[in-house]
Amino acid sequence: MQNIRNFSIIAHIDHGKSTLADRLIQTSGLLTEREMQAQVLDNMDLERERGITIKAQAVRLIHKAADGQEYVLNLIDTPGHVDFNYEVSRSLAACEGAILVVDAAQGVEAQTLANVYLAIDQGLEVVPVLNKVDLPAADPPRVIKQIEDIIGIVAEDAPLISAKTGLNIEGVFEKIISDVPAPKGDPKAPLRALIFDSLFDQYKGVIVFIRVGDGTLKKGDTIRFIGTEKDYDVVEVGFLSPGSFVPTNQLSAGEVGYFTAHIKNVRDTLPGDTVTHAANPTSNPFAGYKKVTPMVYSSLFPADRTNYQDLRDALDKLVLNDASLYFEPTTSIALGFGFNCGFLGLLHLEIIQERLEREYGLDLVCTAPSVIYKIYTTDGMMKEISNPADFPDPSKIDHMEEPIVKAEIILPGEYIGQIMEICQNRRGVYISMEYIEADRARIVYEMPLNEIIYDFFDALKSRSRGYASFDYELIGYRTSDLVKLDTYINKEIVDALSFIVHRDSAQERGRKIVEKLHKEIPRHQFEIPIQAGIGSKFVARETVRALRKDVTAKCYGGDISRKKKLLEKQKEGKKRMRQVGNVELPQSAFMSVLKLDED
Amino acid sequence: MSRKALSIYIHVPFCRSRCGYCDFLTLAGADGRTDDYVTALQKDIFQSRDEFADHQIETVFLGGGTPSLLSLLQLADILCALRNNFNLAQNCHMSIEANPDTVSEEYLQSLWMMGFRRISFGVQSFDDGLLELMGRLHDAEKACNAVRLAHKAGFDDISLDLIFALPHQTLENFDKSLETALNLPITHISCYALSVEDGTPLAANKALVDAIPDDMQDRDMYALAGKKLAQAGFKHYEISNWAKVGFECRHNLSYWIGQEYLGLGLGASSYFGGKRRKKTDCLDDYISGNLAFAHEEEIDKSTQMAEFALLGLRLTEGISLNGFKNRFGQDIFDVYGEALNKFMAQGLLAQKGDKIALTTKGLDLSNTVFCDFL
Repeated sequence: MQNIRNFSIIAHIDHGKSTLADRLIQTSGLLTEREMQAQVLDNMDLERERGITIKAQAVRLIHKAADGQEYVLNLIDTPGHVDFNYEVSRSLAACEGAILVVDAAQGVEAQTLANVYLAIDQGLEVVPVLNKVDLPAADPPRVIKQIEDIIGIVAEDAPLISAKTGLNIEGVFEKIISDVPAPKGDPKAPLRALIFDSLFDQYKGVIVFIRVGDGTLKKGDTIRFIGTEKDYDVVEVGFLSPGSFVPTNQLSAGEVGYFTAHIKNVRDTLPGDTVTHAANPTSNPFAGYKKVTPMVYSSLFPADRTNYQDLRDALDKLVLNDASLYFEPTTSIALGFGFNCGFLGLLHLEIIQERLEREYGLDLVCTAPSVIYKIYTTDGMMKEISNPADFPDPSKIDHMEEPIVKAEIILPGEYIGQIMEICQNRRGVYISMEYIEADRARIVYEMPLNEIIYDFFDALKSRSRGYASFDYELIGYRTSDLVKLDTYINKEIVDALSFIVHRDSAQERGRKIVEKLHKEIPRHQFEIPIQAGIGSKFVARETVRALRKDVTAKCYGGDISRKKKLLEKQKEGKKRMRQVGNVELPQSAFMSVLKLDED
Repeated sequence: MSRKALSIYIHVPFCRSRCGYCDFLTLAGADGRTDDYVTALQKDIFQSRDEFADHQIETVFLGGGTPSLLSLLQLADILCALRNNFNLAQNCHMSIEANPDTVSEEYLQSLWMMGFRRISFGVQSFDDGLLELMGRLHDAEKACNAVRLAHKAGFDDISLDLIFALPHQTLENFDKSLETALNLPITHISCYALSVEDGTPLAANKALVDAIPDDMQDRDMYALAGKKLAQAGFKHYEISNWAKVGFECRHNLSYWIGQEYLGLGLGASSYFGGKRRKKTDCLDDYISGNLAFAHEEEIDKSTQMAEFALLGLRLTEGISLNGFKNRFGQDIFDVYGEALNKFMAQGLLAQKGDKIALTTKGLDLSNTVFCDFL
């Protein structure tokens, strides 16, 4: 056990976490150059493209250190984004240390901080590493000072590396071995293993990734998941060599690996849960196990109604590997049959949408993201709703509450004014501001989550030219004056275009929505009023003028085929429209209201 | 023995310069290749003779480009080849397109002598400012002159093209162009709304595109044309075409009523034997003797029915219910009942006896109607 080191790598997106992981794997000598797929740890195409890691995995490396001894280094990969905070914390709980990768030019970012604090909270030894020192803009002394000032950990002897070129990777290994403590635990005690991830494999069933705290897990053991109270017989145990599962006889205290047990559903194997022996359970399960609850909701509909079953099949497949994704059937008058889905956050939502579209070839229409509101009715009941369609009759509402987050933004000083304005406009309550160095500030706001899920991130990025970084955490519910804002197209309410918003934002939001829709709704043979309203009161209106002209002036012999193709294209476009009353709405109309901050 | 009717289109792709809005298959500055081109055309005509031995040619149409850029000798060679290889009907109607800047009195007289009986001038506008803006090489004066000279040379079937909804154009401005046109000895007029085609210099010029009158003004101009031309005794017979009685363009009618036609020359399209076909659109290819059809598209029965409707409905007299039944053996309402009833209810189509036709509103929204027949 003395020669085991369990560690994670934490970093802001793009600071080089995956590249460093690759280097460590490569340098440890278990993979040949040819086997090195760029960025080995990120399995999904999507992850690679976005430069983020969604699913945690573990890799066992063997490293011969300067002291002549061989060490087993278990690298546990963690997602880098706030949406997956809970997954991050479970991954970290499986480690004794964390490498903090900081870009030597960019310095500390908001997400770095969030994850570092998570690691420090878990009692991990944080080992700072400065990456990209080969870049001309790199300024290690400045960034070292920043790490020491902001995070409060010693960084003066942090290895200066370039994961890309392989510079000083050895220094990272030595630092892990010297600074990260060896695991503690009793191999003879009752089994106590932490699940930090799981993955569905169509041949083996669920593959459960664990860190053994105490005891020993063997093939054939009957185990129990303490949280979900399910028992299974272990079929295989092993560890993860880069790119392959390597079966072994047992996993004991301090070790990291996997097991399979013909488990059909990842929901039985939730991260944070404790695995023990059914016959001799531990009395000391890991703390902090909690069921993840979705924070953001959106309804997804197939663009082509006939693809409903395909969407259902795709979601069924996705939840096999993503227990945090929640969905249930829903219907919309405008959009037909679809699914109301719950996500950990906005990024999670985007990733799921993209995977559905890219991996499953589905074309989707999504409704505006929503959050869970608590509605207290005059009869003393409380109702949690996320779908505007469930908004009760306002006369029956006593009061309402909405989720509030603490938003932390790190940004260059020159953008402070503009970013604060965005926060104020979104009902943010200013908490604090500090300069973390001469030209970088950290500002903290308390903001309603429903203002953030909208297009806050886009607004932040565009107003700071991409320089602001942002993180948030839920801090609770607060009383709020909310209203349901409806959209009327040609005098009819379009259910998929209703929103729950704060009364003060309703008019502005309504105005923007009708403006957007005005641009997206094609002209019809009749005039189409587009209105936004609260109850029976309209707060905004635009009118789509009647179509006066839809004609091909010239059509002679040589043109016929070409003109016919144009008509076919026009017809194809029409086929994809959604009929609401006698108005045909393109898919883009539903999507346009999701990004109101563009102009 | 009765021969099958056929129309022949001959494409002459050459132009002195390319107009800003044009996306036709035209080549500016290739005048040096016209001799080679005419030689290739003669070969093309010769190679087609056997396939159409049992056809009678009802119309010949030289279009472009600018056919009037060809010399009289070159035109004579083409006509000679046609007469030697095809059965031209006694009253075969021969048309040629001309640009006002290319024709002289002698040239026009010779066209008449060679047998051309209809001439169509690409005038586009009688406003010098707009003509220059669109890259036309002639002015209004020249256009008027060309029409008068053609008339003098013997042409009594003269057509001209006007484009409306040009950038910066007002209703008054278009009114003046119509007025000028109606003072000339013409029998046919085509009025096209300007359309901005991808890849043209016009499409790339945002300032110009932004200055194009909006749909309301566009339709006002179209309505004005309808009104003025009707008053002057012109019958509106196709979406963009008006003619004095008996002067409808026979050649173009053959497209709209679904007759067979043979297209010769660069990029020319044909429709015969149940297929649409197209020649190569590469000049070097064509000149080097690659005269076979480069593309072919089978037109099956359902496509034929659709084309019957969407081409036939371009004509203001509309489509004949009996005509449909005789041709396809089915009642048109059994095939397109849903669309026909819907658009009649919306007032875009109207039935009158045996005919169903676009209404005035339907003419403005014809594509909306046509889509449902595809």
